[in-house]
Amino acid sequence: MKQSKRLIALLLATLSVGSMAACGQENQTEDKRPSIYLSLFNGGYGRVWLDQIVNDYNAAHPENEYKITVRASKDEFNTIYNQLTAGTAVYDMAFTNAYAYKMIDANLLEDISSVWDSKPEGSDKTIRQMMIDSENYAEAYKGDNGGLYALPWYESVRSFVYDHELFLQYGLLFGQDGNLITDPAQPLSVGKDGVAGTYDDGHPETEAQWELMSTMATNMLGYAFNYSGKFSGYLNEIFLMIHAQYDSVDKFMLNYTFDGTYDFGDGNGETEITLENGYRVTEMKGKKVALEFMDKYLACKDTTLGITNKYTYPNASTLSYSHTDAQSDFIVFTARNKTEKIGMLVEGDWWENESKMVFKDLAEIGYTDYDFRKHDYRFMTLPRFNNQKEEGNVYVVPDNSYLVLKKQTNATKRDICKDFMTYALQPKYVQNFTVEAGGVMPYDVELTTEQKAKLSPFTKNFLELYRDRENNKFINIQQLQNRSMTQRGGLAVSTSNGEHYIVINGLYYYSAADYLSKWTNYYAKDDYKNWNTNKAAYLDYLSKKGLTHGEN
Amino acid sequence: MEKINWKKKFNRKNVFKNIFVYCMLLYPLAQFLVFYVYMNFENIMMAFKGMMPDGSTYWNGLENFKIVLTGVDSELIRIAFANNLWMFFLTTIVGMPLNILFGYYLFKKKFGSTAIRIVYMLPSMVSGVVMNLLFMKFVELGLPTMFKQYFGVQLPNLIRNNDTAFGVQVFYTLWLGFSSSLIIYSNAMFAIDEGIIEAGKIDGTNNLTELIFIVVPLIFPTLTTYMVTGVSSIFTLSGSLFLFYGLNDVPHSTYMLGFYLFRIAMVGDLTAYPQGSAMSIIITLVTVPITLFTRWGLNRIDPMRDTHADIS
Repeated sequence: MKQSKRLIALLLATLSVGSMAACGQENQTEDKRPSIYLSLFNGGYGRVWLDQIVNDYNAAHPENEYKITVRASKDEFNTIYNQLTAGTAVYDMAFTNAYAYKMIDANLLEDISSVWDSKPEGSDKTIRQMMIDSENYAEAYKGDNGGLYALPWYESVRSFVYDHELFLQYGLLFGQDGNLITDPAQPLSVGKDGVAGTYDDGHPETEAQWELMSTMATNMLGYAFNYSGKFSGYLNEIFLMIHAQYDSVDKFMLNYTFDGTYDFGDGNGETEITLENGYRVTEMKGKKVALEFMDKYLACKDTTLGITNKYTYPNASTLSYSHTDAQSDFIVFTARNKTEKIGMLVEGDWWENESKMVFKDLAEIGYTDYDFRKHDYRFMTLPRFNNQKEEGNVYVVPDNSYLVLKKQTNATKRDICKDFMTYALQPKYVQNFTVEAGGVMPYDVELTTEQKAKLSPFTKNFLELYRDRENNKFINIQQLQNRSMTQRGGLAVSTSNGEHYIVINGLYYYSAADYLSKWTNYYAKDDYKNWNTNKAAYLDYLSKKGLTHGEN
Repeated sequence: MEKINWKKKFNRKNVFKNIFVYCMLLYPLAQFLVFYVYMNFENIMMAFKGMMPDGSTYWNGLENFKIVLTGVDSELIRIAFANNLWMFFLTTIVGMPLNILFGYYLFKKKFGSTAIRIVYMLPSMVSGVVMNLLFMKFVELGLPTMFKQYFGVQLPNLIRNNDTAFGVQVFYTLWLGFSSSLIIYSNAMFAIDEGIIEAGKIDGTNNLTELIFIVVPLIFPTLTTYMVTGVSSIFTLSGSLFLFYGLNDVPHSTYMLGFYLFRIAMVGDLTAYPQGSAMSIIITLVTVPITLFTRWGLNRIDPMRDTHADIS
């Protein structure tokens, strides 16, 4: 009995030590100061990068009355916002993404303009000067009084991820003659950027090449594409990317500005788009092209329709198929299955870090070339669509996180939090985010050669793509949501057709043409009742803010 | 008239005792005043106000009611209204006899009743999210594979198919609610005096007549409670839509009013809160008379109403 009690005590002690270690923060037991909690969505990028900043800060500032403690959770924007609104948030700072304007409008946040204009250690520039696209960010995070209420953290990219080695092996990339390669050693085409040895070598450049690659991938591997049916909103970005690429980024902005001209191809030339006929953005040709592309390659259909999608892994059609299920199948199914494999996965740049344990487990059972950050995964570039208006590629930034400080009554806490925010944006931590988590932050900080050498092939490829602004344009959707009054006022119609917010879910039931017609009819029905209702609500929103349409 | 002995009433011992009692009552009373009276008062008032993104309000008359009844979401609300009625009918009216039958089976301690009790309690013991995931995986992957393998039939994804999605919600609600109903009904039956059952047997009852003429009348207060609480929540039922489909893409054909209100709260758009309040008032106005009528009706038909006190 005594023996078993000792055993239980030992077990409990081990557990408690383990759980403390799991907190990821050193010296927590010695540091008896009360905490200022910092909420973090513990997703694909993990928390290691933040733990390092917090540990360093707490150690560097023993004089502070409070220590910073990470509160890692799966709390997304809605939860954070509701907790702040209800006054039940135990944290003072929070990383989140999406609708910052809601928190700013509701007066829940502290003005952190001074942080924007502070200089972090190791930088001779202020945070504002370090920030890429600072003007738009300032627009996105400003309050009615001109104050700034958030700091941008990371920008992500979501697209098709593929296994470069597998594609070489199966001849699914293009050679310099424009045909699929027949030998892995064969030189690859230079890609759309026209430069050899870059991120898009061997990628399909035309719609015909994309179709050939997808068909061959299906024939040879079994499945060309995979994605999470549970989080099928991930595919909204594919829709937006194609739409913007086809119509051009400038015209794509009509979805947000409702101010400009567009040639609908109806013989009337350039038609002026205003608030009155803004519903016509649903007729933009790029939407049709994007829907047709998704319908053909990605949409899983209701079996009662009798349509089978040969390109996509069937589990993607199920709502219980999570992003980790899809990642796991993409890696493990492909690695272990001799006859069937999955060619591409629609995922964000964090996916490799998120799948760390899957890679490690595979390596442990002998698949050592699949060890974490070893395999050569890359983002596949979309082809040039026939008659597309944009010169290069367009990527959509789906998740754009930011750091906010809750409205404070305690001046000491407020000062510590602001000091921490400046501290956290030291160039070394910006670099570490890329090295440790594989993500990018919108700050003009270069990695050292040593740091670059530590990156996985996938992160190297992603970084190269992200830095190439000559051939790639990026639309930061969440930043747009925050700085566009039409979005704030509930007018914009970039993906929601009234019934489906997630495009691929709509395509489960409808063809591309039916989906589009449903979309157009949603606004046009009953003498444009829905459009006029949204417009009235938007104008009401503006008038209450003392603004007019087109004025921010 | 009896003379009050003030000296005795306010003696040291009584004062301390009363202070203690009042202090104990103060907290629940304050809670009631804040979280029931004040909250509901605010809720009612909000229905007649508009709310700005910063939380400030302005008088808006009956505009919110107009938006609920004729606005962009009115069609969705109509679908949800009908779905709530169906869900109530199928889970309570149809589900109740089934629950009583199974409860009676347990009560009679027939073969395997203990095992059934445990099996049916399992869903209540496992986390709701895990249970939901298991159920979804079974319906989306397991069931179609089984049908294809054993019957050669290609089954659609029942959770996504527009014709079956709401049916799955009903089934899932019934299934999850089964365990708790089973326990409550069988426990109510176990409370029946053994002598009454024995007397029935002497008078020649079989299982069916025993259930109909002895057991059901004796557990009628439990049935009434179930029915009255069921009716009062008829328009706030939400199924498990959030767990199945998330916040943003619930198929319109499966929408339910409870989810509609939940979504308003979760999205956190302050300007939409007043419409949520207006909606709640409409629901209350519809539900109150139905609930009162149900209670009155059930009390009237209670076969043992002379012995049972009114369910108040």
